[in-house]
Amino acid sequence: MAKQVSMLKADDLSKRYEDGVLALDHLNLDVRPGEVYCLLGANGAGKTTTINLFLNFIPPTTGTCYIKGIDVTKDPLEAKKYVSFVSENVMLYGNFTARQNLEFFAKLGGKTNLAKEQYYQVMRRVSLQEKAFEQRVKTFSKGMRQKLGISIAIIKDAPAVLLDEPTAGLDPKAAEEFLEILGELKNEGKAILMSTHDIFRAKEIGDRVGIMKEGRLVMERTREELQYEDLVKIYIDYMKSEPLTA
Amino acid sequence: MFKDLIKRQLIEDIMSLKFLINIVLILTAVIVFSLIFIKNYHNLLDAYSKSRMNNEKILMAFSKTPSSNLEYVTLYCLMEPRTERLISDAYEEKIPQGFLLTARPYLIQAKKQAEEVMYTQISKRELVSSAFSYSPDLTFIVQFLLSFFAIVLTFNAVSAEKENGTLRLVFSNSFKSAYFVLAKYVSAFITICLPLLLGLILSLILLAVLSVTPFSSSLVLNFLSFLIISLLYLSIFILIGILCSIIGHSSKMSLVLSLLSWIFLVIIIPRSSGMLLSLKRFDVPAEEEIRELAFKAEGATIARMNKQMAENSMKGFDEDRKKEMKLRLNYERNKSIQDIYDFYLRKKLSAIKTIRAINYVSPASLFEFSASSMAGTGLSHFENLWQQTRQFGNDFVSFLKDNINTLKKGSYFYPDPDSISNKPIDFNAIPKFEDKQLKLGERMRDALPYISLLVFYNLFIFIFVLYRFQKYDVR
Repeated sequence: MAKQVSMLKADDLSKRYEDGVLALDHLNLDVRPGEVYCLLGANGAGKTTTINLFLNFIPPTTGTCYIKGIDVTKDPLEAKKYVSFVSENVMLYGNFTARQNLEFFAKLGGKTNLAKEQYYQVMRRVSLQEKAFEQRVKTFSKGMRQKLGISIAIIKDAPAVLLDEPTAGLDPKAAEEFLEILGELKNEGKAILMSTHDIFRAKEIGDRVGIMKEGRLVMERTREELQYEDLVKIYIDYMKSEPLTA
Repeated sequence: MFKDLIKRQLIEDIMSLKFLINIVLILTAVIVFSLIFIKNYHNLLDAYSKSRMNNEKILMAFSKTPSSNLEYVTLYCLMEPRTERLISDAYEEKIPQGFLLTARPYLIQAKKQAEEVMYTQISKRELVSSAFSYSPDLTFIVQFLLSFFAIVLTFNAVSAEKENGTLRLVFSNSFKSAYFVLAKYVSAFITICLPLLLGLILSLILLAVLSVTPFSSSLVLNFLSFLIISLLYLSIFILIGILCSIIGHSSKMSLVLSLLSWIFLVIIIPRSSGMLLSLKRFDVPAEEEIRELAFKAEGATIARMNKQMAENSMKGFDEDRKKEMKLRLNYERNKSIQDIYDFYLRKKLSAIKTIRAINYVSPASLFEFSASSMAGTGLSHFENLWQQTRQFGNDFVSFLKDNINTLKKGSYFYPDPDSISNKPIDFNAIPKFEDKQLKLGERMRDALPYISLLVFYNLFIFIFVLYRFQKYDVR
């Protein structure tokens, strides 16, 4: 079987902020189509910085991000066509209904001329209650907003999906439902890069799991390797270990 | 995509409480201001027509026995009240409100207060006074209320989205960042345009319904030009609001920055620069002092002329020659008085123009100047009135010279009982003063520098907004 081309790729990626903090230190990773890559790490480990670099929200200090082989810094508009994003706390336009928000972001994502029913279908797929479709989003719970966030990613139908701690703060049932949807997206061939603190779910859904510490990717394991290893122990060991030196 | 960004923003702006409050406030202000204006306008017309009737009465008496009545020829050359004053009243305390033309001595004096011009001849003095007091105008509504709304509408245009977290989601999509700012601008522009447009239409309807003035293409054109100037002005505050929302790291900071900018540009600069008029350089003496200076100049001229006449013995001169010499003396002494009045009036206008030049940094002042120039009110109206009064004075003197001049020879003429006959003249042939409005082309020429600066500020701030947003951290 021919080796699949990376959909998301970080090549020797570093980010040093203006205050001198090295948030990311020579990161190399790639996520292939149909693969879920989970990034674990403590706060400040560089997970969100990695996602921000992929979205070109910040420029890298060194290295390059590629989405579908496109250099994000050189051609951000072209690269962003192939990526969807779900944040830790999906915030939408509160005075608009779920459908209106979905429609707006679908159009921003390049999906124009969709029928109302198509928006409803996507919202049904993420198990959003029917009565919420035409409700203003400001009345939504966090779980409902996260579902709507993933439906925005679904409707864009981009080959890569970036998720920044999407299950943080969700109740177990909502988190489980969320991961089911991720599983479906994976089966559709999407390349998924998810940052998370949730070790158990990372092991459950991740095809590969990376642990970040102080901006470095200190460990990477495949699903197969993790069958024989205790991810929790590995994670805690890394977190307890001596600080990395520059 | 750009259309969708505008549409979403527009729905949010128009559905907001801010918009509702604004539209109610603006329409209420327009109705109240229009009604006050309409009430004042009748008084203005009344006072103006009384001044014209008074002029006619004086000239009628003059036409019957010119020589005997010359000293009673005291004519009022006042600004004709026009409906354009609803657009821009442009009342400036420092600008005189009319001229008094006296035939003997022949003088044209600017008069600041109506009472000084009209004094006892008109019984209802309070009516006349009201003709010269400031009445609220549409310029005020745009200059203060709508510009404030523009700031309130846009101060958190970007910062609020960053705080809400929607900015990250929006910018995870593929579109030019300039579109985002442009959509904010276009949406705010339309949102501001709506109350302004409705207000102007309402105002026009009130003018027509309350029979102040019939609909005319000229009136509609004036309102239309005011609309364009207003939008240029408001656009600056929309851009300032957006700029503050980009520069400020939070909505609170953006609000403070926006409000400070508004206060500085709309209140502090236009009001404080007027204080410069008190500086020595701009110091213009009070009317009493000018009168004293004029008397001194007159005395000096008389002394000089007497000396000249003594040196050039008038013996051997015929009566006409002697009369002409006497006329020349009168002419010179009055000219010296007139020169003093004109000098200080020019100085006053020059000071006002210098202050205006300082105020060019404020869009609020530029808007005020351009609106009054386009409406043909304010300083441009006064300068036009001065020119017309001088022209009228020249025409009047020429008429006397050509029709009732008693001098057999000599080119010299000065309105003096000795130089004109008492033979009745045709009243209709006597020139009458009429305040004619500047033509549209002339008004546009007057307004052009201010409008050009408004356009320049728009472009400058717009480019700066785009430049700053390119560097904006959307996280």
